[in-house]
Amino acid sequence: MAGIADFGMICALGATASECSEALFANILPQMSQRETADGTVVPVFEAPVIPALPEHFSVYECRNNRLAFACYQQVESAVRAHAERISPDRLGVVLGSSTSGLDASEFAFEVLRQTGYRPDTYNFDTQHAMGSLSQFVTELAGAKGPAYTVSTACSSAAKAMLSAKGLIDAGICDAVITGGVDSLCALTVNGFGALGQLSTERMNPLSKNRSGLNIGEGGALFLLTRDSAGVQLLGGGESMDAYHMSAPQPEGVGAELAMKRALDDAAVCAADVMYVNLHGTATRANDAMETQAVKRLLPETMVSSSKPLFGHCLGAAGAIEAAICCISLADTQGRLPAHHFDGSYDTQLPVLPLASVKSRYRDGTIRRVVMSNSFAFGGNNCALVLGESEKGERE
Amino acid sequence: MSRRAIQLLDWTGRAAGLEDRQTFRNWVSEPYAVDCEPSYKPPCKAVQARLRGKSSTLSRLVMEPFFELTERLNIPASDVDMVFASRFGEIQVLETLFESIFTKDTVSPLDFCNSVHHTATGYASIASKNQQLSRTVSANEQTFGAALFEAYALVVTGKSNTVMVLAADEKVPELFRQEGHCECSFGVALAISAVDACTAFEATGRLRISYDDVVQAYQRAESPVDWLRRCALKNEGL
Repeated sequence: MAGIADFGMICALGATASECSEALFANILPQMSQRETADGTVVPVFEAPVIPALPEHFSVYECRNNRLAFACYQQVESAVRAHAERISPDRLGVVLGSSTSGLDASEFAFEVLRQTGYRPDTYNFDTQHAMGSLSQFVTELAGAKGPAYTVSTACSSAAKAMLSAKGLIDAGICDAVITGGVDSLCALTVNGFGALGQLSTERMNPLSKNRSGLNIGEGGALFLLTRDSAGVQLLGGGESMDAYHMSAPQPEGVGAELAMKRALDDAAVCAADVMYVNLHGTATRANDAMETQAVKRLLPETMVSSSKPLFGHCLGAAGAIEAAICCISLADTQGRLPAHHFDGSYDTQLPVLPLASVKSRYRDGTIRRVVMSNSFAFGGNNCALVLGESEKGERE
Repeated sequence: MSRRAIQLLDWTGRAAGLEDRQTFRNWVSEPYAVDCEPSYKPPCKAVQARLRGKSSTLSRLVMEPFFELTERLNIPASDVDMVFASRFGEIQVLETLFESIFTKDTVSPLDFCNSVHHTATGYASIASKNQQLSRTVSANEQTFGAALFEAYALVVTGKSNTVMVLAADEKVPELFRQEGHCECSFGVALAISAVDACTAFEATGRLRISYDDVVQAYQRAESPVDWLRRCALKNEGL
């Protein structure tokens, strides 16, 4: 168990955690913008709203991904500073997830090189594009001296980063860790998912019989994870590999179920304790088919929703953004659950699951709210997080 | 603070011109100039032909030492946890994809699947039917030290019995290249587990890894070869 002292986020829902919270419960579906793939197909994507510029002395880190990270860091900075005063800098770690890191910087450099024969002078792979650049940037922002690294397992990156961060605390290596994940829109992911035939030309429609794939989004969420046992906690998590296929999930969701079971064990909760599951819910035929089977076997009575129609599939940041959505719900004084957004035409080929609606609330008489968040990735790389209130904690 | 130690059970590696266990280990002990042709692809005979044909070069550089080490230790490859340490990930595949996207050719779905950072452990899990946990670590020049932190945390918290640290990188293409970047493609596997009171290091040829060994690997930004040279070779059994 590790306490979430504070968190910040940015995605199409809003530029801060409070904006995202308002939009989430107002059930506002943000506008989408468009991107064109190499073959000329136009697809909708979810862009983050206003992204702050980096301070001048951090210009070596300039890329879209690091600006998104900066937007998140600004929201947790005061909590980080307050905590850092109480611990040695080498006890503050940084573990973040990303699938893109600053790919856009290399894409730009490639285009300039192709057109002029020269790389741009401002291009720096190590600080802009390298996976390690994200954690290195946040480490410098925070003045941390503990272990700092980036986890990159595609769409489960951020969820796994959060478990790595918790591991550093549990092992006594760190007293606090800045964790979460950030991913940014770039040509590679839009074209790559396009090549796989997984992009929808409309707003994504998870669990619908009419679903036709995902929309790519961008954003991030950063958490300050500590030893504190009050408030919302990362209770535990489970991981597994499908050992099945590089880009297709195991059709019955065996690996997904294994990760979810391991998450329950690690968090020391039973299936009946879990009141809500934030689905991976990508609206691809294969994901929704396998995930609903896995959830039906393990948590058949639990309310579920996919929040991706609100901000897209943020790939390497999805696990963090959706964990933040869970934190917003867990702390909500009205006990509201994130609603499932789709066209209402549930795919009857899928097992029936109770979908969270705008009216859904935690069960009456609930002493301790507990939720799960799923993330599944290429290479059959699965991760489920369990978040909840501490047993002794009191809701505000 | 008193810290628990962990142990290195065994290690091996591959690189261009260092294409078997003993040659690689001899080179770690006494390095000499090798021809760093990026086209070196380990044979990976333990991997099914169809899967081997799809897998990236970096994946082969990971799978060859991975299967060799699990076999030597008589540990089922399906039972170990994996920590993949790579600074650059699938950097060669990425360059190919850039060419495809920006010259408006068709993007290969296989290339895209093979471009994710953890492609190598994805293939290793499929080839070994491994359903355990698999993490990645990337931290520029501190990548290997960070992977040791990750492995240490997994072992001392009891999450993992045996962790296979798989460190690999490829020669960095010109577009991305900076001073200090990887010149030679390589893959190294280290099997790490917990230490108990009965562990007899001298008798078993295993190496005790202290917490300070981990911290120093990170702070000194050691490559796996640097670290092996400093730590593992002080124990002749390893």
